[in-house]
Amino acid sequence: MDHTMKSYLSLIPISARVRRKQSRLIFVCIILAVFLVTTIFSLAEVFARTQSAGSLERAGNWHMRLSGIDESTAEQIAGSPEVAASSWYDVLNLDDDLNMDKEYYIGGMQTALCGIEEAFIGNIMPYFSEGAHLNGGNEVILTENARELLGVDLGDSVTLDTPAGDHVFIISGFRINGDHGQYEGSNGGDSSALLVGKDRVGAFLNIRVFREICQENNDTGDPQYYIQFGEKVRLRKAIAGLQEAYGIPDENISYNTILMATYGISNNAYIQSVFPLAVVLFLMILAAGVLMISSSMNSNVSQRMQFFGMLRCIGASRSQIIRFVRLEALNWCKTAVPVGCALGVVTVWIVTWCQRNLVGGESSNAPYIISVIGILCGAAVGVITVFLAAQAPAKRAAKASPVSAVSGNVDVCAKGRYGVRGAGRSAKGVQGSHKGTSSHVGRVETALGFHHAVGAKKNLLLMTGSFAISIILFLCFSVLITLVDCMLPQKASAPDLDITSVDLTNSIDPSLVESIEALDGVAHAFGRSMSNDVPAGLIFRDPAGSGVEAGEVAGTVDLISYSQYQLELLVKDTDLRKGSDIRRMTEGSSCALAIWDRDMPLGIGDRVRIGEEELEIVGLLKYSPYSNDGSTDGKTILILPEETYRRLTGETGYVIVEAQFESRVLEDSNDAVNEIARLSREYDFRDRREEAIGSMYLMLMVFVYGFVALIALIALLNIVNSISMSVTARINQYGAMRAIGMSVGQVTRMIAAEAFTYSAVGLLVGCGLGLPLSRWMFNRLVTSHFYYIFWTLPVGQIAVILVFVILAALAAVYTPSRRIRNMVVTETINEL
Amino acid sequence: MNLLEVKSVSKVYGSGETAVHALKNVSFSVPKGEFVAVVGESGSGKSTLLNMIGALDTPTTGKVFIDSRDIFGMAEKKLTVFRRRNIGFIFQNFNLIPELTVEQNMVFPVLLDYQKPNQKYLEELLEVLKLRERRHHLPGQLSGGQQQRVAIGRALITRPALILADEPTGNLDTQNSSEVIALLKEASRKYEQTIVMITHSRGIAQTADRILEVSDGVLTDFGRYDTREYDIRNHGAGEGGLSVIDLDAAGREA
Repeated sequence: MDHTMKSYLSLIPISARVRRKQSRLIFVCIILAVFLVTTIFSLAEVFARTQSAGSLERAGNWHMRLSGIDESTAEQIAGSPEVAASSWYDVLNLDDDLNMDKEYYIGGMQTALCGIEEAFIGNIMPYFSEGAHLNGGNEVILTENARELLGVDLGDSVTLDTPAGDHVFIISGFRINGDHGQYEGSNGGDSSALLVGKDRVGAFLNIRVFREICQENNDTGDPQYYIQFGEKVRLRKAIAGLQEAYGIPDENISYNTILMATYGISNNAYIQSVFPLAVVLFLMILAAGVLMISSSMNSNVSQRMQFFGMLRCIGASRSQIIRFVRLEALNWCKTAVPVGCALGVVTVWIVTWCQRNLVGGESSNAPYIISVIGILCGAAVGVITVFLAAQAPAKRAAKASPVSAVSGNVDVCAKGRYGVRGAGRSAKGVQGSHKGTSSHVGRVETALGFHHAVGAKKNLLLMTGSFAISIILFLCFSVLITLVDCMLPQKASAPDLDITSVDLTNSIDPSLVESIEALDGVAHAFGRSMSNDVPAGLIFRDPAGSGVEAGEVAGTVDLISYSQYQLELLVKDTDLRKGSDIRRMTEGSSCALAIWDRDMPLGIGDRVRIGEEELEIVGLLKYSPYSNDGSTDGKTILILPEETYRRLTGETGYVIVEAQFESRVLEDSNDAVNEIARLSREYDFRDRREEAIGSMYLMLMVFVYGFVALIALIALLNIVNSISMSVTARINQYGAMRAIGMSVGQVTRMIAAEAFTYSAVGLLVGCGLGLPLSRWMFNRLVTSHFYYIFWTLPVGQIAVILVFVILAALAAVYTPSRRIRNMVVTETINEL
Repeated sequence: MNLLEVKSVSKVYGSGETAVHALKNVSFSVPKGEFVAVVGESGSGKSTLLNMIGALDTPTTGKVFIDSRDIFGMAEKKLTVFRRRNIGFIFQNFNLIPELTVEQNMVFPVLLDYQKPNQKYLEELLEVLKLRERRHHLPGQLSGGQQQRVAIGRALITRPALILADEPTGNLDTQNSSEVIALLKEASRKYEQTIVMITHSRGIAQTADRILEVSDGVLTDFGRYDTREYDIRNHGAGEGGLSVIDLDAAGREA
């Protein structure tokens, strides 16, 4: 030990070494807070990096896209130093719904035209074959399917027939297909990749040539300007600068959503609504940390009031004491912060490892990182939390009366007096209300415990505050679980691949299903037929319930056939609304399911007449699986058993066939996939195995559940810690009570009463504030986008919280009561 | 010249019917270098008096002057510094910082004053207090008497004009009590410090230059012990004497 002390503050590290055990829990609290934040931010960075890497791959390396600007503006923008690459982009003969209704052909195949600049190839969009270029003006880049469709290759020349005349081009490259599902736009679903159908061609031309062709044919496209900023450019500033300099309104700007969201920039309303929520959650974690550490420190300080009193006596000023307590707290940070950061980094590595090795899919690209942002945030939060948390205890310590050093424990005595007096009062109350019974004798200790809890208001506030905030965090984070479920539904019905007819008619031969099902490794194959706008009469039950039908309303319905297996999946996925009776949906029966929507008129028991036959609605689907937002877009959609469908429509072919494999390991099903691809050559074939694995879902779930688990852990530690501290502060008093004849059981009951009082008040406050907040979050995050899902009282979660709080309170009582049991009575009372 | 002057100090706790008059119009003065013992029954108000002198508590009425300065006229901050530099405290329960060594405990008040401890003076104190061998020990490794000597060293280190001792021998056996008192006396002579000591023990009180008794908040000055008036009036002749401890003229143990 170094024997020279340079300052009174040198006491802090010396004291910390000796008092390690007493401050252990505060230490753990700080570690947890740092760990939590480091982990969240690091995981967020891993997530953002994975996403932005995926986004670069799928949606290209661009930041913003402008519309409605003229060529001179574009030229100026291209010349500005922040812009690394930029390109015009315009499309002809391919609308948003991928329709092609204009007369542009190459080799007799309908052709979509796209005008781009050189920078677009490779620099901005990755989907071009190597060497593809449009330097000269007579080059063309074709979609890859043109090789087979037109029998052409690099260097060949092709003729583009336009209504105004022919143009000859030399093929300089192809737009490669990449994996299925790639090149979907990251911005509202539109893609720049000319996603033409199988028997059509897409051609990329030099923008100059493209414009000439437009002019010749009196056609106009919708020119857009893609911008990629330099790597070190501060995006926000650069974007604001561009907007201001060229007067570009917000509505003319679109962002590469995922890429930009990782920078916190978005004009996507949904992502914008998420940012403030993230901030709220972050602040709540901070608050939880502050409360947690503050309440531990408060207890710690209150145990040492005499020490602080002594310091005051020997000449320490109030501000010296405040400084002392603050620095003491920050001294814990010295080790707790690095430990918390290190734990966070290791945890993130473990999660990354799991993602790479267990989850697969897109997250197998998750990088192992030491997130500087994560560590900085963790450390900052650690220090800030501790500093904030130390304020109240420091002030309290500074208020330590020097008299307490002279005369012993004045502070504790005062509290004790209050507690006993209060308890006396309430014990009297108990006696009063239980007159004539002897049970009140056993309740004195309970009353005492209760008053220990409510007696010290500030302490009660801190304790219940930290309980409550843990509960609030838990409730709010649970909303995220629902959200992830909605955004990335994990359904038993999710297919590993699907095959659709090219023209979306029921033209797939049903025998294909049988051939696929017969393949090795295929678990299920099933198809669906679809008929749109079938005239029907809707027959509603009389609303008054008199059994008289209100009459028939003419309308149209869409019909979809479901095999028995698919119907079973509806039950498995709990997609049916209450009151649905799926058992009646037997093959050939006159029963149907309808898809529920806000404006959908049919209910269970209503009937629909199609031709001569009447179908009874025996169930409702909660939402439409055939749209992104679950709505039916005002249509009435009926699901029929296959037999019934065939009887009604006379059609036997499918519009879509889906298959599920036995194994989720990609290698196991590769053979089957190749064979299916061969069998379904004339249809559109989509391999969706990676989607089905739901790597994103798993990743998010790991994230959210991990978070909820950590919050639960913090809550538990906090509860145990607080109560244990509170008991330590009163240990002398308990010793005295044991000395005057209180049994160990009574003392335990007294502590239990105190613990349960904190828990109960915390539970009430936590649920009281947490439920409205979680409801608000739910409405904002979930219901506003998935309107078929409503907030309901989360009974399950409340039950979990309740059980958890009770367990925590029991755990909290256990350790101190064991200490009391082993307590040597004389030792403690001698200290009084 | 009087170092300490207490003028018409009264202290009332509570109000109305429940009011407790802990001190009633107490006045006295102590010249520089005098060793005063305050005796009294438990609850008589002697601790309250000590708290007032040490500026730990404020009187309801009256004033306390230390070195001619009205201590309750000072602002809190100033008072803290004043107390730090001019008053040393010694407690019944030693109140040492258990994590610090003997030496560190002793220099702590100097560090609180942002000063560098005077090494020579520290050595001298360690010598006088017979703690040289134990300077690197922790309080837990010392006997009660040794701990109280450390506390005395801590009180002396800032060379305060006034030392307030609240039952400094309360937790010590007879042997250690006499040692501690002898040391206190020696210090007060050597460094010309004024000592006000609260004690239960008549024997200890008799070693002081002067005895004050507080009873029901009223102070009686018995003057120097050698008048023997205190003993005769309160306990009958022959009961007192120096039978408990035997000190020579210099205050050292015989």
